[in-house]
Amino acid sequence: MRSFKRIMKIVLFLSICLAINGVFVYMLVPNSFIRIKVHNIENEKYDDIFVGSSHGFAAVNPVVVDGETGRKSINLCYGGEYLRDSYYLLKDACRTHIPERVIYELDPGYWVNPDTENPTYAMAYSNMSPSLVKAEYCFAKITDADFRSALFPWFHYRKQYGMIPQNLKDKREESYRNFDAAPLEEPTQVMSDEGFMYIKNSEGEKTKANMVLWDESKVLEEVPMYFHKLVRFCREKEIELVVMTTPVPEETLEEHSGNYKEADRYFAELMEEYGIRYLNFNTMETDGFQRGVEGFSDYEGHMFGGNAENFSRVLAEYLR
Amino acid sequence: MSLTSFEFVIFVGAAVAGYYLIPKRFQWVWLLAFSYIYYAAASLKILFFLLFSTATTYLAGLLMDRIKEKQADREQRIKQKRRVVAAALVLNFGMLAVVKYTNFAIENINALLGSHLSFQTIILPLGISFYTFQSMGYLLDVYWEKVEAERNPFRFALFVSFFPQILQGPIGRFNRLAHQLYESHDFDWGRMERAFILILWGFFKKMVIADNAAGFVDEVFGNYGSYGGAAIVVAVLGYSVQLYGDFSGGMDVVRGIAELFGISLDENFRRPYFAVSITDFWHRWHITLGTWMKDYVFYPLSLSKMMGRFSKAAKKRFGKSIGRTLPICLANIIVFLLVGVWHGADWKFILYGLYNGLIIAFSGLMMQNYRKWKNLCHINEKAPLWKGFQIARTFLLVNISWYFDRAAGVGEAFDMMRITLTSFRLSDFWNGSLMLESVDLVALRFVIVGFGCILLFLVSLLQERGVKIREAITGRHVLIKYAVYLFLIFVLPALGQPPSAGGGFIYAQF
Amino acid sequence: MEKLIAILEDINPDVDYANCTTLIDDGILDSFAILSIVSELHDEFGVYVTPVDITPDNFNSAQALWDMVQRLQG
Repeated sequence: MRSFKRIMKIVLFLSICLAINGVFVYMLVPNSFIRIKVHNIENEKYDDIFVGSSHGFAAVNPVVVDGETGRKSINLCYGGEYLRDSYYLLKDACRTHIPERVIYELDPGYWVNPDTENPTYAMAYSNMSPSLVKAEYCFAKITDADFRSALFPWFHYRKQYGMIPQNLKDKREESYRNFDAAPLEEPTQVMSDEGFMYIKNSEGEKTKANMVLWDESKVLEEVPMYFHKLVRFCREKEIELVVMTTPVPEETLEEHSGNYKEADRYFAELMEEYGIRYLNFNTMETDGFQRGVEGFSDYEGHMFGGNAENFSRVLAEYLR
Repeated sequence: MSLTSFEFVIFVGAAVAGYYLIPKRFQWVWLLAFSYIYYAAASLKILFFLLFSTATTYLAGLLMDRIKEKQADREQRIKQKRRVVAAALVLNFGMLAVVKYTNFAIENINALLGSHLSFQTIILPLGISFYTFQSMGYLLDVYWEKVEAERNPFRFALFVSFFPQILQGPIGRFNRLAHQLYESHDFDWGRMERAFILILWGFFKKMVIADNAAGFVDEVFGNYGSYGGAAIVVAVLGYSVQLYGDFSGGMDVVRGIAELFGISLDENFRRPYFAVSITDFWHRWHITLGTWMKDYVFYPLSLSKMMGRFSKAAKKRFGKSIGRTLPICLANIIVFLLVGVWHGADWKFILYGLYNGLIIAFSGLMMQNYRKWKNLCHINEKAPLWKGFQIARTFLLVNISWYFDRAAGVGEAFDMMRITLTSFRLSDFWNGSLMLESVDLVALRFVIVGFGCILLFLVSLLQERGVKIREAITGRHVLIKYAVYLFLIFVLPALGQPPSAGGGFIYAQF
Repeated sequence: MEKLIAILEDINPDVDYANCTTLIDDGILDSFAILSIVSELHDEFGVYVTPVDITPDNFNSAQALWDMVQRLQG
């Protein structure tokens, strides 16, 4: 009986911890694109799924693509989504409905730059509903992190205590509960419900910062491993896998032509080995969208919304 | 597995759960398995080094015990044992030296001879500085017949590899640690609670105090040219706080984890900044390294025949008092040179060790004079004012040593000292220059570190008075207990900082 | 024995060596003092103290020291 009392005390204590944690989460964790994307993927059925990085996030408008292909697609890309994340997002999606096709937007920079702990690190994970996939994802990614990232989802937002009033207000709105993307609109960008990030046109200097250049000697061990897992998973579930690389501004291609050419060669070879269709818009001579930096918000490769919609139309031709 | 990673939490959880569920007689096997899993998870390749040390030490120990039993002739016995222990010491310390100091040697040979030997890429095997010292201590204990060699190779492997202490110590002794590892332990709620408090407190010191101080410290030490003496002094003080929080925090976490299994590891820290002299400081800072050096280097060296001859000559030349103290001073300086070298392959660490060694040696020589002067000035040793003076003086001396420890190199250390003295810029303290822009949320960090230090100071003060804090907490009413636990748990993500780039605990790199 | 106490008082005065039994445990004798004592023991009584002998049991009181000296003298 003494043991029972003790255990009850522990259960009580843990419940208090969970409650306090929940309060902190409610106050500090803001609404996010990833939250909406994960919700959509778990509750809707899609024929095509786009996964990848912020390039894909800004370049692919599912509505435009669907207009040509006649399918229903979703843009699951976000900045900081590594292959490991794409893989588990896909697995999570397959719990609801197995898509016909997956298009992986490949940014060579993500193959040579390690995933680091930042606010987005555990975001997809914490927004997933509990399942075996989530557990697997936890062991694949979350266990490497600081235990505070894993156990306290609000940890990376602790400094944004100034946002608490705004967060509380947002979360009481219906649009929050309905997973609308509209409240997240900012002066520079707005996300559509299908996950496309429309970057609004702007004047002013474009940054060359944040560029991660390809370097074959720096390829991380785990990225090719997850690619292999992705390929195998798609084969098992009979999902068509297409890989694409969105165009980067011409000026960037010229300035770093060595790096980009090597990346092109590396991935062309890799996709041939696997027998996978690879659409590398940097090497393909297509037009229909602006290739110069006037069509992009930076030199790194994030398209302006209008340009992206044109690009999406072109992309759709190849995906028909 | 980093001590702060989620997988380590799961690992320890599994280890502890299993420990109390399996039959008691297998508990030590469970510990051995988990220790090797921990080591292998870090790297399968460097497991070789651990096995090598374990095997050579185990066999040498057995061999010496055999010689002790079989060899009747005392002379022969000593000679044979000496051969065995010498071989084992050379092998193990040799390996440590090669792994740690090859590139340093190459660098200096190149500088000296103008050669162009290339640097080797050598990975430092996890924990090699710690487990080598611990097993060599065992070896010498067997040599001196203080302990009997461990017969069971697996039990011995556990003594060498016990996972909580492999990253940063403490350096344990066979006669205190081994039996605890092998004995069975019953589950004890009270002990578990106390262990958790210790673990959380350790993380508090590391994450809230040390990691928040790191930002300012790293920035100033990295770019000291842009700052005046005031900023440098604040950075050195910040390092005082950071190093203590980081190292002693890590120690608390490690000791707490061991306590979850019912095992008491030796203390490594005892409120070092309350020390009244540098000698006292080294009885309170990194205690197990100090006592290891004392028992296995300092005494043997001081009592060696060679020192005996030096002592005779010194007594003839300088008289009895100084004569008998000089060899002790010499041995002491050698010990601290080793302590410096142990910290790393850099001249600044050698200077760091020399600095400490010389101060202690000097005060040893001056001991009788100090006594005379104190009597002349009618200074009461027990007076709080005198004690306060001693503590402040020691704190100043220790902080000077941090220049050598933390600066990028010897040149940088002296540069920073020069700037401190010649361009102090006192006004920086009130004109806001210390609110460095390149340090994220610097003002808030000062507040958090300050708060942490106040809490740390109060706790230390109580401990110095002999108060058993954890027992005091667990004995209180459940509401107070829970409040303390909740505070310790939630303050870590609320006020804590992720480790600076390069991550982890400072001493885990040795 | 008186000789021994004289040595102790020379190295570290102001201690009641006749009655104190916690010279090591209370930190009254530090390692410098211990080694100085050993050096004097060698000069005065001709004994060789080895590292193994430096234990609290042997050094905690003047009596324990005296017992050790007699033991080492054989």
